[in-house]
Amino acid sequence: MEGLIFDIQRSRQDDGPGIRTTVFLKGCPLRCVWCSNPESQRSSPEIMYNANLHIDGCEECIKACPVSTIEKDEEEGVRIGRELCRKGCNECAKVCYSNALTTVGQMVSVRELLKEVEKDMPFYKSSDGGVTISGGEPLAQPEFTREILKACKERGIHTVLDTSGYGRWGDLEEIVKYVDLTLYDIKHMNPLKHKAYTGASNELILENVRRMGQKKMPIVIRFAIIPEINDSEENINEVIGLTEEVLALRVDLLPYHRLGVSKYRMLGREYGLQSLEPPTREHLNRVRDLLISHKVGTELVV
Amino acid sequence: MELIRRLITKDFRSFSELKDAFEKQIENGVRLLVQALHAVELAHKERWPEPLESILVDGCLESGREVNHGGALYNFTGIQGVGMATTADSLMAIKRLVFDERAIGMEALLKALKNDFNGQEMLQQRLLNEPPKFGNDIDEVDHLACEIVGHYCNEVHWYRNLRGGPFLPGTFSVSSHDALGEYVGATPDGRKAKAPLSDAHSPVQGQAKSGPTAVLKSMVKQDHALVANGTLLNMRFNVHTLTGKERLRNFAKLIKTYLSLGGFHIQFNIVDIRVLKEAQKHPERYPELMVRVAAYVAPWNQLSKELQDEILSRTEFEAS
Repeated sequence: MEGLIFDIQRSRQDDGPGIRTTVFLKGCPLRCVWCSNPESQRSSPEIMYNANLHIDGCEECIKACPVSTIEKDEEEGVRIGRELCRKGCNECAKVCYSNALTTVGQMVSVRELLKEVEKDMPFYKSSDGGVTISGGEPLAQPEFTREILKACKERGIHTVLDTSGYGRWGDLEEIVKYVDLTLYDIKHMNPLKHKAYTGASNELILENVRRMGQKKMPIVIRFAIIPEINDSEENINEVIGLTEEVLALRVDLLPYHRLGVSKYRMLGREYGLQSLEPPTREHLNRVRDLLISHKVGTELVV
Repeated sequence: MELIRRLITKDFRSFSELKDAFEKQIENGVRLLVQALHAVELAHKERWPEPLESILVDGCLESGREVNHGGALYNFTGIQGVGMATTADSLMAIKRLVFDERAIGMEALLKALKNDFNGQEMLQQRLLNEPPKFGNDIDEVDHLACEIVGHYCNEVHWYRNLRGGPFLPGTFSVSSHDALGEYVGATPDGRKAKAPLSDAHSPVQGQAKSGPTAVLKSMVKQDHALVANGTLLNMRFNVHTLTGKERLRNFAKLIKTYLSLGGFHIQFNIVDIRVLKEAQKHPERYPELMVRVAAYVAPWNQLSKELQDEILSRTEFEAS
C-alpha cells in the first residue's frame, strides 16, 4: 500500500498531545483561500522554486530538463514553464545542489513510513505523544490513511487524525477505528460562504462531525480565525453551538498568518488574500472570551 | 600534512583505506598532544607548585603531596577532541561522492578545497546539501561519527600522564571550535576556510534539519561512557517553543528521554527578539538559529525576508 505525502516532521508538539511525528499527505479537495500550505493541495508531485537559493550563473536544471521547459530569467534566475513540466520526474531537482528546485510530493509505502515513524518511539512513550496524520486531506487517501493508523495502533502508538472532514462517511468511519483523537477543522458554518472561500459546501463536513459526536468520539475542533471572513460573532456562536453538540473536548484557535505567501510564488501561483492582515491580540482575545463565556475550553495555537 | 596529501592524491583505492589513514593521523595527533602535555605537566611540577589548590583537592593533604606531583585522589588529564561533526560529515561526503557514487574526483575535490570553493560554488552546495549529515538520525553518518570518536577515545585511553593518572577523552569544545576554525582550511563537508568548526559534540551548524528528537537519536548512538571527560550537545530554541505548560512539559520529557537513552550532557540556547533582529542583519553570524514559525520550528536563514519580518512582528507582539 502506497500513498502520496509531501512531508514527515518529527518533534512536532501542536498536532496533538506530547512529542509527535506528523505525516503530511498530499492532495486536498478544498481550496481555502487562506491556505498556508499550497504545496499540500494538488494530488500529484510538483516543483517548487526558491529563487533566493539560486546560484548565479548555474544552468544545470536547464540542461537536465527532459522537456526543455526551464529557461533563464533575468530576475528570478530561472523560470519553469509549468504546463509542459512532467511533474515529479525530478531531473531538475536532482542536479539542483543548492535545493533551489525541489520536488514536493513522493510516493511512500506504509512500511517505509512506519520505519520513519518508529524512530521516535522512546519520545512518544515518555511524553504521551505519538503520530498525527495530517495533510492535505487524509480522507482524500482513505485506504492509505487507515493502513498507517492501523499499523500505528498495532505497535501501541497514540494516533491523531487532523482532517477537514470533507470525505465519505464510510471512509471516515473505517479510519477513526484506529484514531485516539481527531482534530476536526471547521472553516465556516455558513454553507454559501464555505463554498465561496473553500470551493465546497460544508454540509458533508457538518454531517460527518455530527455523526462522530453521536458516537462520542474524542474530537477537538480546530478553527482558523480569518479576519473578516469567518470571525463574525454570529459565525463563532454557531461554532460554539456545534462544539457543544458534538461534545468536543475544546476549540483550538489558529490565528490567520501570512507565512505561506512565499510558497505560492515558489509554485508559480497567485495568493488570493494579498492585503489581509493577521488578527491582533485584542481580536484573538475577543474570540477567546466569547468561547470562555460559553464555558467552552479553548487553546490558542500559534 | 605531506603524508595526507600524498596519500589522498595517489594511493587511496577505497574509502576504508582513506579512513585507515585518517585514523593514523588521529593516533599521531593524540601522541603529539600527549607529548606536549607531558612537557606542560613537567613544567608545572617543577616550576609552578599550587599549594592552595592542593588543599582544596581531595587526597593531597592525606598523601602529603602537592597536586602537580600526583598527590590527588584522581589524577586524570582531560583532552578535548574538537570539530567531531565537521570531521564526520567531511568523511561522509568523501565516502558518498568520491567513492560510492564516483560523482567527484579526489583531485577535483582537493583543488576546490584549496581554492576555498571560489568559482566552485556548485560543488560546495552539493557537498553541503547532498551527503547525509550527522544529527539527522541517519545511521550511516552517525555510525561513522561513532567510529571516529571511538578511535580517538581509545587512542587517548592508551596513555598515562606524569602524575600516574589516565588521560580522559572529551568532545566539548567550549569556544575553541571558533578559534581553531581559523586555522583549518575548507573542508569536504562544504565548510569554508577559517569558518568555525562544529561545536562540541553537536551537529554542524545548520545541518540538523530533522528536529530535536533526531539530533538526540544521533547523539545516543555514541557510547558516552567511552568519552569519559564528557560529551556536550548544544541546542538553540526560540522562546516560543517552550512557552506554555504543555510545551514546557514536552521539553522536560525531551531532556529526560535523552538522558535515559544514554545521553550525558545537553545545553540550550533560548533566543529572544533582539537576537532575531541581529540575525536578520547578519545572517552569517547565526547559521544554526532555529525559530518557531507556525506550529513548527525552522532554520531562521531559510526563511524569506518577508517571513522573518512577520515573525519579528509577531514575537514582539507576544512580548507585550
